[in-house]
Amino acid sequence: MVLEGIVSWFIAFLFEDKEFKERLIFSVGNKYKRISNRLDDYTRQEIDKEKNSKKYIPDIFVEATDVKEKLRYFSEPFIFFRKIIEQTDRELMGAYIVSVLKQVHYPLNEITYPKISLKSGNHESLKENVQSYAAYLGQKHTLTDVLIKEGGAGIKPELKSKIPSNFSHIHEYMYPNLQFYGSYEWAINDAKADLDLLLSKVVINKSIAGHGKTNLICDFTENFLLRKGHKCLYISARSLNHLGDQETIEQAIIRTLFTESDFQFSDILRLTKYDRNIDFLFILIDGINEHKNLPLFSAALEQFIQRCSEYKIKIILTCRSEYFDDRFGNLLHIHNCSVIDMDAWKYNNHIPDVHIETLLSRYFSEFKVELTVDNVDPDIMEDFNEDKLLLRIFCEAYENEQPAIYLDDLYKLEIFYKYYEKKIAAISGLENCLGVIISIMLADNQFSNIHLSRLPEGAKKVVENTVYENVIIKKDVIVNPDLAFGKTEVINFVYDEFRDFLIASKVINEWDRDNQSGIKKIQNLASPRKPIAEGLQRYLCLWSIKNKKVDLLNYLSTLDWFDTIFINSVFNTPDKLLSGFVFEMIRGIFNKNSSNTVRIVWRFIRRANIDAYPNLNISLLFDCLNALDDNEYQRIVVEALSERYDYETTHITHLCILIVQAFKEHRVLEGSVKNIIKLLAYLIGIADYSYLRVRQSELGKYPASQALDIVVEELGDDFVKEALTEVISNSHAESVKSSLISYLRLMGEE
Amino acid sequence: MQLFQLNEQRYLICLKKRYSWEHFKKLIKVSPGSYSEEFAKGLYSSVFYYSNNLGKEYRKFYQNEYENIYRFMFWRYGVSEEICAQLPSAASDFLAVFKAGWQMEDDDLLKDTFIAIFSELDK
Repeated sequence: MVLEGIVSWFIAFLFEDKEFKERLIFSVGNKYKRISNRLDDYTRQEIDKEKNSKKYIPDIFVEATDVKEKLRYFSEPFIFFRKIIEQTDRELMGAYIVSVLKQVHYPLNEITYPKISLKSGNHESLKENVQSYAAYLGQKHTLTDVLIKEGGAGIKPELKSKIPSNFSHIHEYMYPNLQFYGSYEWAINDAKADLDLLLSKVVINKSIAGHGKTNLICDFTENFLLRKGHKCLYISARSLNHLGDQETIEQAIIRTLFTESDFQFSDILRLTKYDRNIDFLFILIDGINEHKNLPLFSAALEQFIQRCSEYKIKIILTCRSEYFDDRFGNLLHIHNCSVIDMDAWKYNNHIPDVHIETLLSRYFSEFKVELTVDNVDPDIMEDFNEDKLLLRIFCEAYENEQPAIYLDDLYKLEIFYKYYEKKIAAISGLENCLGVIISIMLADNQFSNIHLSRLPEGAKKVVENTVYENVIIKKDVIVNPDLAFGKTEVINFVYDEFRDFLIASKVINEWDRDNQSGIKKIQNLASPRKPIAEGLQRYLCLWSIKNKKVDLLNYLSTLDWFDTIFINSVFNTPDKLLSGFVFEMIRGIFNKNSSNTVRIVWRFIRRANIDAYPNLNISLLFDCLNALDDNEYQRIVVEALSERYDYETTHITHLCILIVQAFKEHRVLEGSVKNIIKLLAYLIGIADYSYLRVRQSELGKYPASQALDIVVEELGDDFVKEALTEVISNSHAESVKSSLISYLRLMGEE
Repeated sequence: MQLFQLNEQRYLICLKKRYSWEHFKKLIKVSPGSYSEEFAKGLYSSVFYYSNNLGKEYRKFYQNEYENIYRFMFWRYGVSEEICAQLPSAASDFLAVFKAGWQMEDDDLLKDTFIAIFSELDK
């Protein structure tokens, strides 16, 4: 500092020119080094903060979405311009429509390829080259103008004469293929959007809550910008909450970065000017919707961006979609501004399995969930991939715990309950705040968009302090288009099912206090077509099963919707929580109608292993089947399983196909083998008359019998005989017994 | 030659080098102007023209970002570590991800033919 002061004084003495003076200080002093280091340090420190709060979990941002690639284009236009060209040229050359046009010998106009000569670091040269390639693409786009397009296929009639006469016959049979020009036009449109990104100075990544904006921007900062030596400043919009009415974002940034008043934003600008290693300074502002004063911040941000446009600065912002359209629409008018909608279909391509495994693995290790990916059922992995918020809730709920040795069931009530307990223990006032919100919802009969102003101050404070996590509650903006000043901030649950879980709990409390009042609430809220009916029904059943509320379940069983929801709820409850009254209710509804029967049969197939499910397992299904006489068996079981499963098969065939596949692929666990064979035995006489119509019916008229043959081939006679004999001695249905006796006799003869 | 299916449409192929069309044509002996020649051209182009040449792409655009080509292949293309471990030497070989537009997944014969041709080519 002393040396710097002396140098500065000496230079000031010698020269009046401030720019010259500063440039000399840049060369010989420490000032700009300190600014440069502070930018790096602050960015690293903020990224670490996001890691600690688990808003950013490294290595889970999977690249199949291509959003990160777009940010690369934006950040390194000189490098990635080449890639866009190579990629687009390749896609256009290989486009299906081009090959078909060649095959019909339609003369393709040769378009002169632009001369691309990019001078690295020269922005004018970049602009010129990008524009000339964009113009070339515009010309290439005209290729599809020769097609009929809407409502037809082929070359336009007036242009068909351009095909040489000796090849005109080819068009006659190939013309239907001349309607598949989508990939060609998409390639051009995508390339044009990519070219815009190269020249953009601002890019806004928007998506709905919980879709990984912070993860994207932190990953990009850490693993791209910092790793490649770019100068950048990562800052969350929340840390600019102190922005004053008369203050600029530049001043707020300086106040955030430096404790001393020696530096100004103009010093940062000078750094980008003097330091030849800096191509751009990247300023990344995460969660612009999370700023506490949106009108002030949005206006300040617009002015800030406008001022930065003159300098070597590129700005990356993230924002929740709902807020962006409403509160930050002003940014769209800024020149050279691009928006990436992370929820757009083109960014939601299928994620490779290896990335799903990595994603889960990283989540488990971050939250110290004692589970490895190898011990997660593939269906559950897919569920987690589809619903990252559920994955997050699961991991928080089971932090430092082992949820299961092998995870093949997701008991949501248990997950939510653990999560709720942990959250209310960790966040002071949260229990009360959630209670207030649920009470308002019930009182107003409105389950979304609760006005923030309705909350008492204490609850409001809890919302403000927790909302940025976007896990339990989120703030939204609603607009009344018929009113001036019609924009209102409201709160919603991020995860609707979690809201229903809490509402159901509140309704059960009401039932406990006063049955009649509880009934009124249930009739009002859980009847079909009511907004929260589906979730409420489910959680009423789940809570009642867990808490052994027989009286409430008896009441619920009088309601039309009960059976289906109850069956699903029983199987979505951990086995250890199930007891006798649940089994009696299952027995009671098993033969009430065919849809109950089918649903229960399908559910019990996954519970063939008695050791894994000591309480509720396939034995109960066998008890239900054994209790039926022949008439009941025909009327209930045969009728139910003969019904269509989908447009090409019946339940009986589909079920048997899956069982056969499982045996062939050796997926049937040892503890389940005998019970699965017994199930096939109970179903042996059920015919599938659709087998003649269905082209690929593998199992013929009697699928269970055929399936048994295959199992015999796989496992041998003895095992099957023993299982069949047990069914013969227990079943009361004569048709089952006689079919099995015949089957055994045939087995003996062979 | 090594071939790995990455998803329904995309395959990873590893060859000792990039082969010319002339070389390829000579090997499969198709008559000029025939349908077989068209088909062979399609096959050849998918692998050598319209594919993503991973080695080249890595060196040109991603070398400073990923510590090695395997990390790049994992994150950009979803190539698992198990597959990477089976590759001989990714940096020097022709390594490409291509789209099998001709429904190779549903047609075992086509897949076998593809493997036979490219194995012969890469002998």
